[in-house]
Amino acid sequence: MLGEKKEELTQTEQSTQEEEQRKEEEIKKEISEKPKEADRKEKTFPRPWEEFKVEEKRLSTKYRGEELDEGTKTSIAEMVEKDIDRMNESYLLGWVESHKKELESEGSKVDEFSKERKIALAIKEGAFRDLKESPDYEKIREFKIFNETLKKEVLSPDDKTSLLIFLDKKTEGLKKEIEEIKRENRPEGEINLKRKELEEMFLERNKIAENITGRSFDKEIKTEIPERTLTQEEIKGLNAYVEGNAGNQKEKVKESLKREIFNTEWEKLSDNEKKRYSGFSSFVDFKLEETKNILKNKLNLDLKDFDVLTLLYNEKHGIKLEGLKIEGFKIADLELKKPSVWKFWEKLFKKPKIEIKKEGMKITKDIEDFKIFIDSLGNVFDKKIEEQAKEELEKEWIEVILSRNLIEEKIKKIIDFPEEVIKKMYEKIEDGLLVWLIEKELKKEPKTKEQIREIKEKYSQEGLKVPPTEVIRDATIGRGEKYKGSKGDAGTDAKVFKSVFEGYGIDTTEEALGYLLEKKIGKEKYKKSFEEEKGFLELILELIYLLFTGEVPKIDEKEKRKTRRSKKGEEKI
Amino acid sequence: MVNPFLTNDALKMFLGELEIEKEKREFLISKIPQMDEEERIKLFNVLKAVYLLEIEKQRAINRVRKYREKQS
Repeated sequence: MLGEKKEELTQTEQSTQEEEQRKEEEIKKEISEKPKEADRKEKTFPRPWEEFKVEEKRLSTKYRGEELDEGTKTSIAEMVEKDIDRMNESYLLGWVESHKKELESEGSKVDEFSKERKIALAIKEGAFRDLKESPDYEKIREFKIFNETLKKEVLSPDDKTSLLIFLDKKTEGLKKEIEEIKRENRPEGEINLKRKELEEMFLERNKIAENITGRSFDKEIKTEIPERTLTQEEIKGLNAYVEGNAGNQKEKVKESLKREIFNTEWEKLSDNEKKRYSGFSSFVDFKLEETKNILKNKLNLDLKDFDVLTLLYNEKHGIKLEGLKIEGFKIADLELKKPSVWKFWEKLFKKPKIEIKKEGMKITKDIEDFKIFIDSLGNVFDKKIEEQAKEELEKEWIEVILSRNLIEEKIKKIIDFPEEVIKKMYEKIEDGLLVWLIEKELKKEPKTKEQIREIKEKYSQEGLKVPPTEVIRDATIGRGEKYKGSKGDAGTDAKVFKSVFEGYGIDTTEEALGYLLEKKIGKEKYKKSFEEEKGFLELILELIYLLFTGEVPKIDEKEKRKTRRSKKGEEKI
Repeated sequence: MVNPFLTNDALKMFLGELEIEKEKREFLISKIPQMDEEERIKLFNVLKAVYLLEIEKQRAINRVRKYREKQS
């Protein structure tokens, strides 16, 4: 029995095999002379897309610019989270306020609750259920969307640009808050906190703006500023800044000059000695006092700290006084010339004088005159301090205020015309791809006459009736309209595809497309491609390619009708 | 049979539809008639990528425009 069954099965298997072989031969006959190079083509088109994808990704990454660093993303996310907390808190407190009556029971007054208790109560009573109806909802949602965006590994150009717009809006808000604090005369500390936030915000905006434009604003303004003529408004701003900060800055300059005068001596001290002075500034005080005493004992001069500092600066740098031959002298060069105690008339009529000796020259001055002389040196010294302070303030104004304003202008331009930035970014990638193609991928070696003749013959024929862009557009952005009716089912979608392809001037049959979808591409792969935009486009391109490589039996319409009729006849029989 | 995307006409049409530098477009158009299959496929792939980037660009611009309008 078993043997018979086995034989039966073998016979059935054999007949199925024969049937299949017959069908295959029929298909082979029907296929109009399969081109020999079809196999090679199949390997190169659209398969090179895979290779090309790598290159495209490389170029895209190159021209899309660096990804925002994680630090920036995290610090913005933290800022946004704080805002969300603040908004939630304000919503909950508002909710408690408007539901006071319902929340209050005998002996419990909501107004007397602490902020934390009010918040806990609102959450417990389900305040968040009403959030959707609240005017705060949209704002909180928007902030939450941003937080989600920041979690993305790679931010798209429009993500980054929107982020910049978002932070700019937040900056405006902060500026208004500062004005409000000032108006309400609230503590300076509150303003400082907001200013700190404003500063952080500027740094983040600057980073994003540079990232999306691929520019360095710092470098740009360094070349722009020297060529720039200040506007009237800017000159006013600069003068106000210099005047407003002159006092402080002069003190700073004086401190820096002290460092210049005393540093060498200070550095010579051992660590223990430095400790004994408890810092540089008390060392300076000590040195000034010491010099003052020397001058007092040696020259009988009672001088102020500033005068001593002037003399020490003069000793180091040499203050130039008009009409005076000596420029820069040491305190050691000064001598007190007392009247002789032995000469009666000198004792009576002459006053002690101070002599300045330097390089063989000698100037003698009365003590009072010497004091006037020190004053003149002091004036020059003071002028130097003032000039240096002004110079430093101007530099500071350029670096801090003007540069900041110019960078802000650049950021503003991006925010006012974000389309331009995005356009440029994409143009760079597109151009990069074309350059790569022209310079690296197109063959340089000339073709033979025979090759050119073959190419001419092969590719001069008519191709599509529509530009390829239309085919791509239909399969991507226009898909809903063009491929309406397709459902991701290989069995039924062939009809839709046939009609779309006919519009492109590609004649085919439902059977052919069905065969390709089911047999060549496969139902599963088709379903997967159907669900993705790029996948669907690739599928359409592959289908068209397969139709032209003879991968499908060419079924003549008349023949098809005949087949259908005979099939029906068979069924009847 | 030739893939209809790779004929001279189709590739010229493709180039004509894209927003690329005139100089590059003209250079590529002049090269098409002598391009062999491998070169045509490469050209097609690049043009396809460029066009997809144009679509992506338009979408990004629309998204950012919408966002900015919402902000102001």
